[in-house]
Amino acid sequence: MTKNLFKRERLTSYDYLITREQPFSFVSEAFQKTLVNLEFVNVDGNLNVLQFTSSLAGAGKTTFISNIIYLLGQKNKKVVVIDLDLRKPRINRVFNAPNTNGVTDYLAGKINYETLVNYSDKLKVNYIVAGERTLSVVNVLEANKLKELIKKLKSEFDYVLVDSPPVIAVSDALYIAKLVDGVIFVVGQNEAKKTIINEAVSILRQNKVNIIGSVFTQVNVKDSEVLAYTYGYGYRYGYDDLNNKKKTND
Amino acid sequence: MDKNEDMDQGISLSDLFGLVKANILLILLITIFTTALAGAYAFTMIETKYSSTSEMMVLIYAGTNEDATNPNYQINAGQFVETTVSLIKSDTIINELRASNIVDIPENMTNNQIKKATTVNSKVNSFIITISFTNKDKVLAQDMADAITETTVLYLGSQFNGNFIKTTNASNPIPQTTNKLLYTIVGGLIGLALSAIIILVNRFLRNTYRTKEELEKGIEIQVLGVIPEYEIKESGKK
Repeated sequence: MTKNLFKRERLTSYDYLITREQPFSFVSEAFQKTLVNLEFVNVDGNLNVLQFTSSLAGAGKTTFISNIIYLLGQKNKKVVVIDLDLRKPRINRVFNAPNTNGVTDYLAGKINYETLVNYSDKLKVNYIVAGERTLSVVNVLEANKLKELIKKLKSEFDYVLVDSPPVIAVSDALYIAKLVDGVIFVVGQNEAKKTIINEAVSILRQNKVNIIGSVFTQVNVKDSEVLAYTYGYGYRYGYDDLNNKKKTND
Repeated sequence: MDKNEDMDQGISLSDLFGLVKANILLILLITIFTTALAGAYAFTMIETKYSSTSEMMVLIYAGTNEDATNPNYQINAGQFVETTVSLIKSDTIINELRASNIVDIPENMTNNQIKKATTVNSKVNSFIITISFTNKDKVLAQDMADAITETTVLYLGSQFNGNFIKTTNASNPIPQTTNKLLYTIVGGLIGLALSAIIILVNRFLRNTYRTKEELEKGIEIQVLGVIPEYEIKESGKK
């Protein structure tokens, strides 16, 4: 409660993609740079199914994935994001879509593959929501049909990005890690203590998870560093920019 | 840990401003709270006290050793005045005061309390001694200043070879004005200092990854990207 009172609240609007709204801002540049690094790591092209996880909730996984998937879409890559955070699904919020006709519904045989995979005209990418809530999350994640689904997605898309729960809270991320080619570990600055983050990484390593890299999010960048990021382009990002952008859009 | 890393671990002026900005609400809350607390204490709890002052003069009779009734104690005037100042705040005088019944001393008032409430001053090269008594009861303050001076004059006059004269009756009691505003300002400053300590301690005890290099070294995984923090105003939402 004290934390909430004194800490500035971080407003989360999943459908606001900064890479789309402000493509030349230094934050978008940072996402671009990360994507370049990600592609460099995947230079052989064998890491097509990527899972994003963190130690605890609030590290910014969904925000990161949504921006990366948008940038991949902009590069004409055929890409799909799948929400396997079945306990706290959020991908549907990125696309302003209802959390229906998702993974759990597909695995239960209620819908077919065509109904499962949605396309966003706005972001020009495919997405799969989590679907109806289920109590047997582990059973769902261990289902052969899910493995087959991932396999099918892998064959159809250049990239399959998987949003998954944090490592410390539940074991879901470890089950999901068996289905993917690699894991990106997302760390939010000041979000979790070092021991918690180290513990999460340790758990992933103990389970022989292929961690291909980490991403440091929500980093408080000093003004001097901001200038360094923008390479003197003169772009600034802030409330004013947001408001101006909004006014322009209106 | 190399030198560059040491520098990264430190805190710069820019960090300090950042910390202040990030914790401005906490600073304001603590400062307002301590200011209000100090103000409330100063304006409601501190009682106004009154002080009354009386004066006496000490004259030394320079007797001779030949006269047994007027011995010469080989004491100079300065020493004698200083000695008298010390004696006024002694149990001897206070007990004499109690025995004299010239003033109604409250039963619960101890000798030590009387000593604390009594201020005795003398100037260099002067034979005048000022005796002040401070109490929340203005009548008692005046009576006690008078009574202490009278008792001293009578007692020391009978005991020592000097001439002790009460020169001034106790003045009208003057309220001792406590600077309540100063108390309030000090309260505010204490609040500022307290919030600064809390913020700095919190900053140094926060065991989180703060830099990319720290994270990379800590988890031994390459950092593919550093995404700066950004905020979205409600108006910025689609």
